[in-house]
Amino acid sequence: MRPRGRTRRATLWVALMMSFALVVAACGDDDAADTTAATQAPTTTAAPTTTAAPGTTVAGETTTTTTTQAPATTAPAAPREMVFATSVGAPSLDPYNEISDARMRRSPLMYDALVDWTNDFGVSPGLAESWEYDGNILRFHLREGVVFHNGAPMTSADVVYSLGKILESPGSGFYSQIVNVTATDDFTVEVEVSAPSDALLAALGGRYAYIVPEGAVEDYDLAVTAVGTGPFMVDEFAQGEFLRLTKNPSHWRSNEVGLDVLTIVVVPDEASIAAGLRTGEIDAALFEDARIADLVEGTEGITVFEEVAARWDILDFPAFDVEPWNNTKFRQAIVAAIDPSAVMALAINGRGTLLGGHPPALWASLPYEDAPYAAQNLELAATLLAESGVDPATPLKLISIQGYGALNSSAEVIADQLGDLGLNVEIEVQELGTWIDSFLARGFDTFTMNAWGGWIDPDMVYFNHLHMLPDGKDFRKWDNQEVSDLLDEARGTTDRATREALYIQIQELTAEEVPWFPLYSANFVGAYGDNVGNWGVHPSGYYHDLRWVTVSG
Amino acid sequence: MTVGEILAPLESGPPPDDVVLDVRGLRTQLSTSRGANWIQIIRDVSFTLRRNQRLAIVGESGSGKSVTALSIMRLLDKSASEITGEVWIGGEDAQAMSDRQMRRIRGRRVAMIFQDPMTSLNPVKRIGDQIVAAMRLHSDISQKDAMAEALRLLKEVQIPAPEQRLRSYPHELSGGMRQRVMIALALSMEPEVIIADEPTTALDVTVQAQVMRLLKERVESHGAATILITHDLGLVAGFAEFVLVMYAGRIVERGPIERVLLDPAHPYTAGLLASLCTLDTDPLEELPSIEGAPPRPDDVPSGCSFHPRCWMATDLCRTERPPMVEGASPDLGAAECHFAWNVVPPGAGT
Amino acid sequence: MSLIPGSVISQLVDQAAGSDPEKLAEMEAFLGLDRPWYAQLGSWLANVVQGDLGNSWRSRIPVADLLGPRLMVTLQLSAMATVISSLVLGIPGGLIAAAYKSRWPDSVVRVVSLLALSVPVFWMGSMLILVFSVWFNWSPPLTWVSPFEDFGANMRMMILPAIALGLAGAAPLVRMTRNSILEVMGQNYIRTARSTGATEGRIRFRHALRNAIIPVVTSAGLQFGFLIGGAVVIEEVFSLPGVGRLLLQAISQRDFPVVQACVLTIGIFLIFLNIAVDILYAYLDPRIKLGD
Repeated sequence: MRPRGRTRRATLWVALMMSFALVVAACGDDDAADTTAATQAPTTTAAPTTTAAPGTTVAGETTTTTTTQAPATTAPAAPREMVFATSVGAPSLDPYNEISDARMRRSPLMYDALVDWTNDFGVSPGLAESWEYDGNILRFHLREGVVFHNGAPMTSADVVYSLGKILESPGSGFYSQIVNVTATDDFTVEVEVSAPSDALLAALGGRYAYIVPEGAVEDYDLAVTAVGTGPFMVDEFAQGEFLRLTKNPSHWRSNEVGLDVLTIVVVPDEASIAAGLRTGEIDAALFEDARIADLVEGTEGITVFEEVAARWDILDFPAFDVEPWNNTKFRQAIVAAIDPSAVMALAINGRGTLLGGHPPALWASLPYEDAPYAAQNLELAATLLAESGVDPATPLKLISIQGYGALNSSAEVIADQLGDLGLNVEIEVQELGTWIDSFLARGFDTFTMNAWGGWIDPDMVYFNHLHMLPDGKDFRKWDNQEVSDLLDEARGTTDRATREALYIQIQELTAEEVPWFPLYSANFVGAYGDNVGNWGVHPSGYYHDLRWVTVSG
Repeated sequence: MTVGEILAPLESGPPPDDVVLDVRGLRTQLSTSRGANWIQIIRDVSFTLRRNQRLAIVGESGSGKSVTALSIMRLLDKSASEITGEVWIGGEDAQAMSDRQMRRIRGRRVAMIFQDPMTSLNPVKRIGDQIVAAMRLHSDISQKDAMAEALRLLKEVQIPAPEQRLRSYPHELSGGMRQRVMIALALSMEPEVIIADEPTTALDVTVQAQVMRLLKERVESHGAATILITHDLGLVAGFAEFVLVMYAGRIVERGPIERVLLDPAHPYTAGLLASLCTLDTDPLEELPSIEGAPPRPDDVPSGCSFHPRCWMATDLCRTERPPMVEGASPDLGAAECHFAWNVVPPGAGT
Repeated sequence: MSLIPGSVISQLVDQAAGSDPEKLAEMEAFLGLDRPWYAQLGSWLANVVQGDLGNSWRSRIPVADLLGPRLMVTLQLSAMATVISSLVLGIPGGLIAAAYKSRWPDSVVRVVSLLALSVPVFWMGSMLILVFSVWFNWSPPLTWVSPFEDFGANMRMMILPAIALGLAGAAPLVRMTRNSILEVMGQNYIRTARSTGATEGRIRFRHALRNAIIPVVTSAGLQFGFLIGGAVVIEEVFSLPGVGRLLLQAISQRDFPVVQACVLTIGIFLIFLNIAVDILYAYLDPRIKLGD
C-alpha cells in the first residue's frame, strides 16, 4: 500500500530539480561566457557610440566616433577601455549648478580650467599657459589652438562667458574676490580682483571653474552632456547608472591620455564593487567605505592602495555662546580625553592619518605631534575638567549626522571615552538637511560631529569659519580678534612661505583654544587590477588622474 | 439462477463471468488520527453482484454503508485506513491490485455517484470538460467525439438546453441538474457497476423521485449493475431488486426486495419498516421508531450488536453473536438474528 | 514630504563656498517653495494632468527622462521576482510540501522557506553576489541593457536580483499553496475525480491546483506590490537603475518632483495590478463574474 504514487512524486521532484538546474546552467553558461568576455566587454559597450551620437551628444562627436572606431575596422587592436566603479553617482553633470562632490570629481575629465591642480594644491598651466598679478589685475594668457568638443575654437570670449557663469554658481563664494572680467584680445583675459590671492588662483583650477564655449549654457543641456575642452567627451550619461566617456583626440594633451573609453559606473553597494573587481568586470575603484578594501585585499591580480586625502572629520564646538561650551578649559578637557587613534581605528579601520590641524595633503598643515591636546591624556583631562569648574554630571548632547557611518562610529567612541572622564554624553543623530540648516543659522547649542573636505587652499578652510563677522561667518561665535588678524594677514600676500607660517600659527591657536578638534583624515582607499597602470588619486579625490591612466591587455 | 446463488458469497477463486462484483469478508478499519486510534468500521461484509442487478444497501447513518462503497473503490485515505478481505471485480481481486491497476478499475468498471452534487463537481471546470476528461481517461476517443458523446449523455439524463450546459460551470446548475450531470459522468465511462451513494439525499423530495426514476432507466438501458446506498427504505422499494441491511458494520439481513419489505426476518429491518410512512398509516398516530441510536463504531456491544435497542433481546443476544440464518428457501435470503424469521414488530410485544 | 526636516535649498547651496540668505531666498522663489503647500500641490497636479512631471530640482533634468527608463527595470525585476517566487519556488514548493505532508520533504521546504523569510533581502543579495564572485568568479554586468536589445546580457544582470527578491517573496506563497492544496485535496470533487480513475498527478495538477491557486494568486498579486518595496533595496545592492533607487536618492536629496512622480507611478501601477489580479481571479474562478 505504501508505494502509491512514488513515480508521480518522483516526476514532480525531477521537474523541480530540472528547473533549478536550468537556472544554474544558465548562470554556468554566463560564467564561461563572461570570464572570456570580460576584456571584450568594451567592444559591445563601445559599439552604440554611433547610435548615441545623433541624439544626446554634442555636434562634432560623430567625427570623433569614426576616429575612435577606425582601428576596430582596419586593425584588430581593441579600444583601450577601463571600467571605474564608485558608489557615488553624480545627480547631473552641470558644472555651474551641480554642487555634489561626485560631479566635481568627474568634471576635470570633460572640462579644462584655466589652471590645473598639482598634487600639493599648487597650480600648473591649464587653458592658460601663463598668468601674472599686475596690481589688482590677474592676467591670463590663453593657450592657442584649443578646440571645444563641439568643434569651436576656444578664445577669450568663451573664458569671459564662463567666468560669468561661475560667478552665478552656488559656489560663487570661492570666487568672491573677482570684481570684473574683460578680454583684452582673443587670447588674453584680465581678471580684476579686490586683492591679489593665491586662494583665488587655486579656486580657478576646479570645482565650478570650468570653461565652456560662449552660449553653451543656453544651447546645450549641460546636466546630461558636457561641452568642454577636456580630454574626454561624453558618450552617454545615465544618471545614477554610468557615465561613458570617449577620448577627445583633439585635446592638447591627447598623446598623454591613456584610454579610448572610460566608463564610470555607479555601484551603490560597495560589496558588489569588490565582487566586480574579483571577476574583472571592474578594473579600478575608489571605496567610500574603507572596510570594503578588506574584501579584496590579498586577492591575486588586485592591488589595494591608500592615498592621503584633503578631507577630515572633526569634533566641532559651534556654541561658544552657551555654558559650558564657552569654557575653554572644559573644551580642552574634552579633547584631551579623546584618543583619536582609537576613534580612527573603529571609524575607518585605521586607514587614515592623525591630525594636528588640517590634513598634510593640503599644504601648511600642523603635525599631530605639535598639537597640545591631540593625543589622549586622561590625567590632564581630569585636571582640566576640575579647573573648568563644570559639573561633570551635566548631561551633554553630541550631535552626529545621519548617513555618515564614520561620524556615527566616531561619536560612539567619543561618547564612550568621555564616559571614562565621568561625563554623561548622549548622541543625537540628525538628518543632514536639518543639520545643515542649523549650522548655517549658527543655531547649535552643543557640540557636534562634522565632516570637512573640498577645500583647496587653507584660506578657504579658515577664513569663512573663523573670521569675525561681517567678513567671515564665525559659525562658532568665537569672536576672536587674534585669529581674524592672522587670517587678514595671510590674505594680504601671495607668498606661499609667508602664508604657510601664518596658517601654522592659526592651527596652533585652534589647537590650543579648541573651536574644533580634528580627529583623523580618512585616506582614499581604492583597488585596481593588474592591467591598470599609472593611476594615482589627487588629494581632492577628484578624478584628475584618471586622465593619464593606462590599461594593458 | 436462484436468489440464493445471487446473494450467497462464493467460496474462493474468481467468481463466474456474470458476477461483476464479489465482496468477500470485507473488513475496514479507520484511524482517527493518522496511524493511531484504529476503529473497526466494517466487520465482515460479503455479497455478490451480478450483471444488470440492482442492489440496495440500507442502514442508518454510521452503519458503514458509505465506507463499504469507498472500501470497494479503495478511495479511503490510505494512511488512515486498513482494508482486508477480497473484492473481486471483473475476475480480479481489487484489493490485491497495484494502484495503477486500480485506477483502471475506477470509473471504467465501477463508477460512483456521490451524495452531495453541490460539492462533488469541480467548481472551476466546465461540465462538458469534466465528462470528456473522465471519458478520455478510459478510451482513445477524440476530444470532439467525446464532446458529442457528452452532449448525448446530457440529453439522455434530460438536462434542458444540453448544448449550453456543456459549457456551463457547476455553480450555474441546480442541485437536481448537477446530480443528473453526475449520473451522466458515471455513465460516460460505461462501467459495469455504478455505486450510487445516497444520490438524492441532498435534493428536494420531488426532485428525488425524478432523479431516481432517471437513474433506474439509465442503468437499465446501459446494462450496468447498480448498488444504491441509502438510509431510505422508501427509495429502495421503487428501485432495487435485492436489499442488504447493514447495522454496525455488518450485514444483518439480505433478501429480495418484496420479501424483505413484506416479511422482514430481522427485528432491525422490521423496526426500519415500522418507522416508514405509508398510505395506510393513520396520520394521527405516532409512528413507532427504534429507540436509541446506533452504536459508536468504537463501542460496539457484545453479542448481537443490535441488542441494546431490540425489543426482543434476551440474555443470549447479549452474550452470543447470532448466526446467519437462512430462510426456508434459499431464495428468501438470510438474517443474522437468534430469532430470525420470527420477528415481532416493534410496539407489538410491549 | 514637506514634513521631512531639511530642505532642498540647503542641498542646492554649496556650503563650503558659504551661502548668504539672499541666495537662499532667490532659490526658493525659483523653485516655487515660497508659496503655500496647497498652491505647490495644485500646480503640480495641473501639470501632471497635462503630462508634465516637471524637472528635478536637484539636477534640473526632466523627471520623465529620469523615470522612463527606470520604470522598465523595476517592472521587469518585480515581474521576474514574482514569477520566481510564485511559479518557480512558491507553488512548486507548496505542492511538494503538500504531497509529502508531514514527511521530510515537507519539513525541508518549510524550514527553507522560513529561513528565506527571516533573512533580510539585502543580505541575501550581497551573499549571492559574494558567492558567485568568489566561487564561480562571476559577477553580474554593471550596466543595464534592455531585454529587447540583448536578452542574454539583460538576464545575466537580472537573474540574481530576481532570485534574491523572489526567495524573500516565496515563503508566504509556499505556506499558502501548501495549505490551500491540502484543503482542496479534501474536497468532494477531488474524491469524484479519483473515482473516475484519474491519476494522482492529474488530480493534483488538473483538479486541485487551479482551485488551490485562487487564494494564492490574490496574495501573489499583493506580493508583487510588496516586491516593489523589496526592489528598492535590491536595486541598491545590485546597482540596478530602477525606480526604487531613484526614489531613495530623490528622498535623500529632497527632490520633491522626482519623489512625487515615483510615488505617483508606483501608485498607478499598484492600481493596475489590483485590476489585473481581479481579472485573473475572475478567469480562474468562474463563480466570480466581473461586473457583478
